[in-house]
Amino acid sequence: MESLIYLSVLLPIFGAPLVWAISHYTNKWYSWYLSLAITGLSALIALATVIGVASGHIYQHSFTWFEFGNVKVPFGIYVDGVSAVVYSMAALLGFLIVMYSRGYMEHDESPHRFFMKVTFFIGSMLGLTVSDNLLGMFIFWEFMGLASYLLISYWYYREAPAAAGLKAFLMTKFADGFFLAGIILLWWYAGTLNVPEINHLAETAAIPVIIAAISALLMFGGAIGKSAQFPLFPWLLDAMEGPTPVSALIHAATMVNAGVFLVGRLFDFYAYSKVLYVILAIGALSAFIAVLGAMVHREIKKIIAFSTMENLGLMFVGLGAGSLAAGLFHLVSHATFKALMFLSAGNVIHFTHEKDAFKLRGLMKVMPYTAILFLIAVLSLSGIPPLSGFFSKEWIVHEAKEAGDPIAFAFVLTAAVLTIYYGFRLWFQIFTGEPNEKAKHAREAYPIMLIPLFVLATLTFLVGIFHQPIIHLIEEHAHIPHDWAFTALIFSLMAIAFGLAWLIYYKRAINTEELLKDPIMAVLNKTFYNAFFVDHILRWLSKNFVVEFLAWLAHWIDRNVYDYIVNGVAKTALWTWEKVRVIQTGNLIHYLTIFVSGAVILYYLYLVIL
Amino acid sequence: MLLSAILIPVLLAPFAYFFDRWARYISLAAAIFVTFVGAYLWFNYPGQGFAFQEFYPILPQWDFNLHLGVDALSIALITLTGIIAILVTLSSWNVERAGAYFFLILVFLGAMVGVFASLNYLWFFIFWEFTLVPMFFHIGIWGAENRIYAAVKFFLYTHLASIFIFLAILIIFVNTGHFDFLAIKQANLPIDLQKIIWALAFVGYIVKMPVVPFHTWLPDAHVQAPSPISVILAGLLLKMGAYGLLRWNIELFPEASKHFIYLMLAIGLLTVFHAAFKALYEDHVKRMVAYSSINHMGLVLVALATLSAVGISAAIYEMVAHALIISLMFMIAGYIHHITGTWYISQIGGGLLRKFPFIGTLYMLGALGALGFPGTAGFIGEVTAIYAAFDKFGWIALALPFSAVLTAGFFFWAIRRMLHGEPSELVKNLHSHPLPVVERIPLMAYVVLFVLLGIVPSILFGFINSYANTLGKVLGG
Repeated sequence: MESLIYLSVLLPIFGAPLVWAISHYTNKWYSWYLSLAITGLSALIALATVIGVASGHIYQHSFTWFEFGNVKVPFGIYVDGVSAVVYSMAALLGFLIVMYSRGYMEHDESPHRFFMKVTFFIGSMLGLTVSDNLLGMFIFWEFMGLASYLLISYWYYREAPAAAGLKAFLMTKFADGFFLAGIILLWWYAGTLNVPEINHLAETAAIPVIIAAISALLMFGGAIGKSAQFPLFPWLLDAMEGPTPVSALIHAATMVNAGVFLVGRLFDFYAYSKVLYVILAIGALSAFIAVLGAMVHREIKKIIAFSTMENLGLMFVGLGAGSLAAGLFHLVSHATFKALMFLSAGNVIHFTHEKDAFKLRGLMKVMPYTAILFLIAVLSLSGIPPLSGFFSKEWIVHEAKEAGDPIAFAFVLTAAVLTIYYGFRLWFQIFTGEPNEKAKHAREAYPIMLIPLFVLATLTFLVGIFHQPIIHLIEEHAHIPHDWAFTALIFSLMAIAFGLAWLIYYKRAINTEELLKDPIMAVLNKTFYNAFFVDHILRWLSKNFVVEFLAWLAHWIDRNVYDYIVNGVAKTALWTWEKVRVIQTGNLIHYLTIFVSGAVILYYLYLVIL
Repeated sequence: MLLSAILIPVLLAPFAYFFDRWARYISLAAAIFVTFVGAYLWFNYPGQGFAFQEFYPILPQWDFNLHLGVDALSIALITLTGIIAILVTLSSWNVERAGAYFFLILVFLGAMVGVFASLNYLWFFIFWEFTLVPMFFHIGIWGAENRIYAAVKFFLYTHLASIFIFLAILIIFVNTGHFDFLAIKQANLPIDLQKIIWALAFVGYIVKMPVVPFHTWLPDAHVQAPSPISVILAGLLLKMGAYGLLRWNIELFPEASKHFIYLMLAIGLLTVFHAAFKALYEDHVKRMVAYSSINHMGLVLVALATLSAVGISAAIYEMVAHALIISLMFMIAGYIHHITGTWYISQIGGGLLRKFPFIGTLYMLGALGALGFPGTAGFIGEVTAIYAAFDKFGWIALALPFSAVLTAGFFFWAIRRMLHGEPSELVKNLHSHPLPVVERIPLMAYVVLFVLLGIVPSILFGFINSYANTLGKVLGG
């Protein structure tokens, strides 16, 4: 089994160039078949693994990758419940999204490039989930960052995707600097990179808590970047320039979860290091910022991106509140309905050629299946039983309440309640009412684009109904706490939010344009729309501080200090030469005189000094 | 065996000069020969100490004898020399005035092997100086518009630095009566004298590496040099500096070295970040690569400063990684100039990748290597160096991962401005002219090599670990 797990990771990674090559000189769609076969095989292996893990196995294998000096660097896999859940989910979603992409990429000029990158990405994600040591995780983590960059800037010959790709790459890379620093720190102090051993540190208290805390925070810095949390989230919003299946795969269902997974994978260590509170705070703040952004944006994908950020924040809240199972179960649950949501949105965008939700109307009549699938995703997102979102989100809100921080709880509650507002705002806007011009020219998606969606919709039901086995896989004794009064409170708040969405976007009883004329509303709208101007601040800093100041300073020093000294030496030499030249007369007597007088001076100096 | 690796290229050089049309084949043959010698040594090296020693008395009374011998460090670098020489020859396949060009390459190749194989300090110095001459003419004759200035600056600068090494050698000779590595090592010089010698030679070596503040010759030399010569500069010539520092300073005077670790650390860190920020400001394609190269050598110096087994093995690894990755980047920078006719990213203005996918893709791969992306040799070198630095110096090492972030910043920003985006007017009017296969081979070879070393690092570590561990014990004990 272990060798099969290796295969499921290495085959997509090393097979990716093959996916490209097979199509480069032949039919460009062969790449799709190959990619489908590879990811399908990985998905099968992952399902077999999760069944094995559910029946009590732990798959592990480790070997020394290389040795430098006298330090060994290991490589290997360790698949326990936490790992298996995310691993199988990523493999399955990857396979479905590759399948879906056949339709979405139909008009693309070089789909083999696309499938190469997607295949590479899926392998990297699987590698991250099964890797048994931090350096291995870091390697796959970086691979995903690259794949994400390549896929966001897939249409690199346009300006916007190229800029978005760069932003994503640099922002996550900046965060990865912290991650690597944290790994090195922990590696040196703990003397190991192995994940189970690091978790075991918590029991033996082998390293000081302060060191553990610093390294945990540094690694969490990496997670902030990858999982698009405050303040390193703007890249995720721009990342929507990529093809929609990519947004579904990378920027919703799998890669952005890597940060959550990292904290979950090292959960005992994080608990030991006493930094969970920071994670809770960052998660709650991000969820709050995101939900406000999602309420006011216009572009379909941007709204879903904000929604992703919100849900990632909620996962961190779950972990930060001290419940591993709550965080990771929401990860699984979110992955299913968010992939569903993105892909249904992909159908809408592909067949209407319109990204702006407010230029679409009445698609229900044109794309009924997509509408229903989208609705299922929205319901699950909002937390309506028996869909998966109900169980996972309720649980997180509950955990946030128990955590005992009123501000964080207020943020989380706001986010959880307002989710239904923006979800239905989007759905009512796009699907209800009379079809407009754009909608009339659309058509229902192809079966190849609907089948994966049906599977995902089924999954979100299944994850909801069979939540208990999944939770047990993550954490043996965990169970969802039920507090019916609290649930009732949330539902009544949600009913109000839903009512508002219904009034504004279905009944059209309230005109939002009118509301925005109020200056306070306008300012709020602008603030939310720009996510509290974090992007502006980061851009300002990177441009004015890093490039215009630090880099300029280095440039200035290079020119005016280092080179100046060198040129100064050269000039002095030239000057000396000019001055000394006059004595180079070519007259032997002159030379002899100078030589003798020099010798006399030296002799006297010798006498005086000694 | 070792002598032949020095002499055969040098003796073949006149043939290359006179038989213009055969010059490239002669050069290729010599380079392959050196690579084979390297491989032979690699596989037959007993694992400890100096092996394959050869001794040719010349002036025994002055201890001026051609004493050759190699250990794991030298063998690794000789093999690298051979490989880079093959690839450079292929890249220069269609060069003008091939006879003179390959004449100089062959002389350089012989001298280079001599540098790595000499156990006599004076002979080392002679070979060291000899490598300068071909470089001087290569830049001065085949260089770009400002080549004379660059060639003279390069020559004077590094030559001036060599004087410091020469002084160090003289002081050693006056005090011990020896030039021979093993004999000097036996002689117990007073520690203060050791420190003086160490400091003098150090100046010479760090100019060659180069690191701040003696680095300004390098960007000028690179910008003017033809690309294959840049490869030689970055891939081999700079390695001489690090090699000299390691062999003739650290290994020879372990006690004195310990007094300089914080100096080395400070210079190394300053170099890493100065060069990274400078590259971020750079608009010149090749100058950017040159500063990236300096940035890597700063990391090598940091790793060497640890004076530990892990640090030394990391430094050697990073040297080899740097040779392969930066060589690729220099070649690509040269092609970009060749294609577009300009050096400046802002003038190119975007859209190159779509028109020149081969060059563009390789630029991206090289950039990934340079920033230490996993799967490339750069990653291994970087992670091991940071670990070693943390092991020795503690928290300050945790700044080093951000050097990779800056590298990502300038290279990927350059990709954004130059390769990605809508084609500029300039790019629209370019004709695509595919590279000849013979020039594609070396480019792909660099990628294959640095990816191979990134995935299977034990190829190199397995070979150099014994050297690093032995030296680490001496330095630590």
